[in-house]
Amino acid sequence: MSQPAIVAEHLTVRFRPYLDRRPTLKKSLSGVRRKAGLVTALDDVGFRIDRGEAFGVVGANGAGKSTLLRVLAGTLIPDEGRVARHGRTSTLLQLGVGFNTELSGSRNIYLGAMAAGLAPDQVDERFDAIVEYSGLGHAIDRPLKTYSSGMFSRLAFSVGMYLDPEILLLDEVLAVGDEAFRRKSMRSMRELVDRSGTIVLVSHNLSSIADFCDRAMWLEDGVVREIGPAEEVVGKYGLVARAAPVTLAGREVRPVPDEGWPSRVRSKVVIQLLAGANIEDLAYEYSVTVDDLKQWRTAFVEGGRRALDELEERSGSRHA
Amino acid sequence: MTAADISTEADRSYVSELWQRRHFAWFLAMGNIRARNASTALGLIWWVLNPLFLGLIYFFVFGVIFDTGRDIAYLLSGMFVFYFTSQAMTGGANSILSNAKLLLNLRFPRMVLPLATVAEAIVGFGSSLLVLFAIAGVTGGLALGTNTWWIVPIFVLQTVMTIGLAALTARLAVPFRDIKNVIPYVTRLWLYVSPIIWPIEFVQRIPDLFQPVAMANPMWAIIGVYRTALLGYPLEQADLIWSAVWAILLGVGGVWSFVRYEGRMVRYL
Repeated sequence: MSQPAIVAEHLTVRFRPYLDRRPTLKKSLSGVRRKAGLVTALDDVGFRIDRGEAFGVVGANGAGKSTLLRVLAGTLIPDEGRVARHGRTSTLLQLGVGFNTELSGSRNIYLGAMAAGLAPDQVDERFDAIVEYSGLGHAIDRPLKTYSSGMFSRLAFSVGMYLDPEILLLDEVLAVGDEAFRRKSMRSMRELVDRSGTIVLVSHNLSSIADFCDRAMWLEDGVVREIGPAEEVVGKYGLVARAAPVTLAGREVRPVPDEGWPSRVRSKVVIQLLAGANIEDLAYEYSVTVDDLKQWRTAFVEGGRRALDELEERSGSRHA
Repeated sequence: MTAADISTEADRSYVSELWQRRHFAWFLAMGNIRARNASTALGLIWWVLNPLFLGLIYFFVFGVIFDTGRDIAYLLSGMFVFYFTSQAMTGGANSILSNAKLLLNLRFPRMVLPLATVAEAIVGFGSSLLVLFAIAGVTGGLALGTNTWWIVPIFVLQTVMTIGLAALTARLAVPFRDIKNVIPYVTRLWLYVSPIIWPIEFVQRIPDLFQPVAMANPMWAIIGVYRTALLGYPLEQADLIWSAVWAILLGVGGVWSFVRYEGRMVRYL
């Protein structure tokens, strides 16, 4: 049996709504507290990630992805449940944590690496390798505030990789630098996983999760909607998540995976045309077969058009 | 996979984790010092110029215009000792809020941040002492000798108290952002009720009843011992005792309240 790297059980995190989270002096002195309901960011989330696994997390904004990563990183203590990490955890939840933009790139290497827990001599040892990996060359002695955003994230990512993590938590940091550096960073992450390291990846870039991760989890309003092979989860999420904004000829179109979903090669997707905003206002249903999950969008849009045409035709013939 | 692997992180004590992060605290403090004046022409020299200008202005106002009858060494010694603590309190209130990104992303003992603030204030204090020596060396008033050894225990006591106060303002400013606005007034008031710009004898002008209150002011005691060390004033035993009492009360109390609260800080950022 494979070894677990992260085991999360019944994670529940509740936040006070924004305004209520900032009790001012006046409010707490006067003892007046508005009884605002708690917002549940994570609701009984549980999963297990093994060593040597790349695990993706997808979900809409506000679904609880970042909260989850913070709990996994140990910076946020959940209200309920527990998480066990087996291994040195390094987080790149955000790029460039601990950096001071007034200081040079080299000083920031020290600052960032020491913020993450390295001792100065450990940074000494890795310093040259980090500079080399970042490809920044002489720019490393310039103040960080003169860096382009690409250079900034390259430096930050390089520091993160050389923390020598066993568990790497990444939040939306895949769009790192230029194309060449992006490929290099993906390769490094792949190597980490091959050395039986573990990566948890949060991204809105669905294809990179589908390509890179073994398994993925789909969070919706703090609840696990789906855990499974990355490609399947991403496929389903992509289909449903991106359904809402698509409007064809003034009608909302929403795809719904059918029961048999997902068979990996061919799958039937039911496209529903809604008369109004709600699922109850179903005007017409149309099924389309998707041969390749990655083609879902094309299939979806085309299917939607065809469905619209049919609907128009039908109503046209009725008028006639 | 054994149970031990899971528990190693939790079992490490707070103090040893903090000790492991000492280099980071120091590096953070030095980084802030460097960064603060990175884009000025004079750079680090400002760390000496700031207390110098401050001292000269206060001397001009209270030594020349109001002529409170005290020499500049008296004024500056009190002023610089006071600024060490008040700077750390102001910085402490910002230490957690301005490092929100660190807290949200990394797990480490949060005391690192107020401690870095205190380290920064210590460096400022050190450079201001140089200014004191330079000015008082010219104008007179310094009395260095065996009495100067008192600077060691009083510096330790003041530092302990200051750590507690920085931790306290840091902890309070997280849920109550208003604290940041209040602190300048608190420190201003504290400055004026402490024997810095007025001579110690002034205390006799207030009603007898309140004299012990005025003298229980931690700054009264601390500045008193510093003046013994630097200016050769006779040592008041009460000053030493009060300094120790305040150091323990505020030091332990502040840090305890901070550490107890730090798990919940992230939720307020």
